[in-house]
Amino acid sequence: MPRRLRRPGAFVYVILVAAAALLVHGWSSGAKLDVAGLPEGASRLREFLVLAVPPDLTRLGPILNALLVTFEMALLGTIIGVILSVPLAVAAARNTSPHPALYTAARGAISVFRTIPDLIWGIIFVVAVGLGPEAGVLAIAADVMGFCGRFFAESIEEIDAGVLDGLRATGAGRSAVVAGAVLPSSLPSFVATSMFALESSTRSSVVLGLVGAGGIGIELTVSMQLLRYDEALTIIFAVFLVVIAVERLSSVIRRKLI
Amino acid sequence: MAGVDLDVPTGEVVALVGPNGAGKSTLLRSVVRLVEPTTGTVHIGHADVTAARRAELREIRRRVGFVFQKFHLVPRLDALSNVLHGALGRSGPRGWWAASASDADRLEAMACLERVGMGPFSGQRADTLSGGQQQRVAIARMLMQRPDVVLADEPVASLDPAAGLAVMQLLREVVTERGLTVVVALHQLDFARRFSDRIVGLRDGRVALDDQTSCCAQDRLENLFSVVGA
Repeated sequence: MPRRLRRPGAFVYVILVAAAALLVHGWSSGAKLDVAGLPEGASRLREFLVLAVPPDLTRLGPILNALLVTFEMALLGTIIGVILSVPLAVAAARNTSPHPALYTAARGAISVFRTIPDLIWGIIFVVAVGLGPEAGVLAIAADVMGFCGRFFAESIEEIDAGVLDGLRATGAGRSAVVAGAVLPSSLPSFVATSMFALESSTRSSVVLGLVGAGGIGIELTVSMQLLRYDEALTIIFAVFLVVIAVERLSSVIRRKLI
Repeated sequence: MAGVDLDVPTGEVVALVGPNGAGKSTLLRSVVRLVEPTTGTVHIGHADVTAARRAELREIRRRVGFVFQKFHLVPRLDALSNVLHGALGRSGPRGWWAASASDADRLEAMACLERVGMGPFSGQRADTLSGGQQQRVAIARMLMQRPDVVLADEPVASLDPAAGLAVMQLLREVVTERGLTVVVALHQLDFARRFSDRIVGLRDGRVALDDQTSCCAQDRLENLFSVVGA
């Protein structure tokens, strides 16, 4: 009969010791929770809420306008990203990639797009094209290519090999096989993935303003810095409503597909 | 596969028979290099398939219709779109989708569907059709290709006996109409005898039998399937 408890292996000890060491070091470098300071923090939060309620609706017009631009930034960035993801994914799927070297290159590009966070793409594109929504659109497109490129490629790899052979056997060229078999087979999954991408892009487009890449984020930073907390609360509510609306819409569309 | 030396004259219908694993599928697939042959050569007409470069290979495949055991239609597309795929090798980007295909191609595809008795199902998605119906659509796609040669890999093995017989009859009719050269892999000996001009038996990757269907003796055919030493 096996013992009730088994002695954990060396690997588990190493992980536990490493985690403990990191926590101790982090505590001394400021990555800590100061329990004694929490009540003070809570009272400052109360101050913020007192100043923020009721929300100030006088600038509702410009705020809604900025929010609309934010969503449009997300929409355009997502569309560009999704369109560029299709050829990238065809190259990054084992069953459709034209050449092993291209497969490796495409996989590598997708990893780069995915591992660099959207805010850093924002900073990079602000340097490239200047402050404003254009940088945001490019940052979102790059972020979407990391996400869609990967999931599109996975969905292409799930296509029945026979279906592709069926078209190749007719003498169809590579583009014809992609257009005739890959796109129609993967379309529902592509659309569902793109809707997820749009949701996440909407959230990124809100914060991209913090690095100057356009959208409502700039308005929020300015209100906070000027201590116009009531205006900031209006912005936060407006953002909340838009993100919820996009999520609802996207889940309805995805359900229609399945 | 080793030592398979086959010469199929234009217009002949050859049945390729043999037990599972004898190499029927591999042989057919390597004729158009869906499987790359490791050694040996394949010629179709004057074209050397094994030496062909990518573009030449596409040109050769265009002239060779392939009918698969599992149909291999695009499941989410309707029958007409699947038949139009037969023209992909010659139609250019316009032919990629049924919506953009030329009127001439659409009419030809419709005629192919009607020839196989699937006209009324042209707008129905392939994955909602029965196996027999899907194989008919696949035969229509093959006709749309306007091939000179047809390779059929166990075209009725996934179908029930009645549907299988009907599809075999249809296949034999359309290839005779168009005077096509056919190699069809079958494991039903009665179908092989009924629908072919010549029977080639494969066993363990070798030709074990090669005879005109009319004089092919029953016991020699059955020997092909017998277990060694039994």
